[in-house]
Amino acid sequence: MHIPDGFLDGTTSAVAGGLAMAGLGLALLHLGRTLPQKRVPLLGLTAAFVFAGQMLNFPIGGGTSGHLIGAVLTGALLGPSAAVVVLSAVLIVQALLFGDGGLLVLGANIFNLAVVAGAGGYMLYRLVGRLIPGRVGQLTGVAFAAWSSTMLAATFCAAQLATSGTIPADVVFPAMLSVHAFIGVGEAAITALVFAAVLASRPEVVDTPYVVPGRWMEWVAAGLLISLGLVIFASPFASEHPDGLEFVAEERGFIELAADNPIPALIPDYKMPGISSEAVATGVAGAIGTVVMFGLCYLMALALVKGRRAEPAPVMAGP
Amino acid sequence: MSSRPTAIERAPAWAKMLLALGVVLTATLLPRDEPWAPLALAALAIIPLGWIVLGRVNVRWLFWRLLLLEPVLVAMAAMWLFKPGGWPIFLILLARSSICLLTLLAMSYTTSMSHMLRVLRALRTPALLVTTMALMHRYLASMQEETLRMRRARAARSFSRRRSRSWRVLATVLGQLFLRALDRSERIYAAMCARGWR
Repeated sequence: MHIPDGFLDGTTSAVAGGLAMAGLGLALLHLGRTLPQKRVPLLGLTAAFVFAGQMLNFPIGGGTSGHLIGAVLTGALLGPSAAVVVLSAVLIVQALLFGDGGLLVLGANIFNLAVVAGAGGYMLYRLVGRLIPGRVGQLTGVAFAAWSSTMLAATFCAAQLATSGTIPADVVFPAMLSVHAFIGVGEAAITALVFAAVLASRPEVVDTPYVVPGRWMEWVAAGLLISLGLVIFASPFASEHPDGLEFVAEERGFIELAADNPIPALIPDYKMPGISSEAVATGVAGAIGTVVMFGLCYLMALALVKGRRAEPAPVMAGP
Repeated sequence: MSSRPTAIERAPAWAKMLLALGVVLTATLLPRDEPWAPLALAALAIIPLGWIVLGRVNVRWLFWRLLLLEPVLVAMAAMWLFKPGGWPIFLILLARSSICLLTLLAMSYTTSMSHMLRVLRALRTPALLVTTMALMHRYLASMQEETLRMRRARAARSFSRRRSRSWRVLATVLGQLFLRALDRSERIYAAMCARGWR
């Protein structure tokens, strides 16, 4: 999901860059205050670990493969600020060293994959942990947050591509979201499995965190940032959507049904009822899919917790 | 990098980074609907191509990088092929982003990471972020080695071939990697302090 150069226009890159700097700045400030000096190298090592993890591809069928983000895993193990900083570092090095992800669009990539996936994913993880107690809750939270982080990042990515006019909204949203719904499953599975492996060896890492996780103020800030981003990116899309609808309407010959009305199609359901109910149907399907995903995460968490008790701890080799 | 550094490799990092940024900015701001756009892009392409030639960028290195990264560009641009008459936009988009990619790759090949990080630091990038990137770069190689060693050791001990097993193995390997990172970080900190890092 690393956006390459040439795919976002100047305005979108600038706005996303500003939001990214704000989010990253907050995270750095928080870490500056709370991270003990002796743990500073930990960020670098975790970044190397995340980088290595991101190089793993897994097939998701249809000839495509997905790769991991690792923001939620980092957040669950080291806290949201560390997740934002670590992921940002990974993204910057990937762009500078490997050309994976563009220079100008670095801000957008950091916003999507570090700030949204990291801070947003962490908030979801904690929320689920409140709903479901114990290890099962933590594992469900980590898995569901991981899937959601992929979906959220994909949503913002698609929104940025749409507002840039690079790819039309009616093509990019379904394409990105459908593909990443599957990639997210891989992210959820690996995140949960690695988290469970850490829990099995050294549960104290999670219970008494190595890095102080963000407190409610950071959560609020992260939440505000995300909603702000949502508003900024979603509102142009809302006015662009009628173009997509119009296009489809022309294709399907619905346009003759439209009344001769000069008012811009911000309320298209009065003119093209067939399409608006399609949109509603898509929304309902998305909601159902999300709930199903949550259920699957819960089942996986149950299996992992029970499995740990039955299986002896794996013997690891190496110096 | 080549055995004898070329003039490009010896050039200051900030200049190369600025040039790359300039090319990307120009490519981004170029309007794609104007009839002269393809010509302008072709002219712009001279910069990365010249950079590759003068910097004596290894063609095989370039080829493998492009093999990895170009499909992403094609896949994203190909979304235009779903629209009638989307072919010209697909091509322009592909050309634009490929030029940016080549520029980035040329810069990456001819500029050392430590120099680039120094430029970032000079631009007042927070020290914590720069240190993280520097350490990450340093430990990337050793992490991959460690992963390989662990996978081999694990493979020597496991007898099961089931798919779910391999996911479990992967997860355990990653989990152990992370825990080792936790332990190492404190030793690394001590070593760095002993060498005068603050």
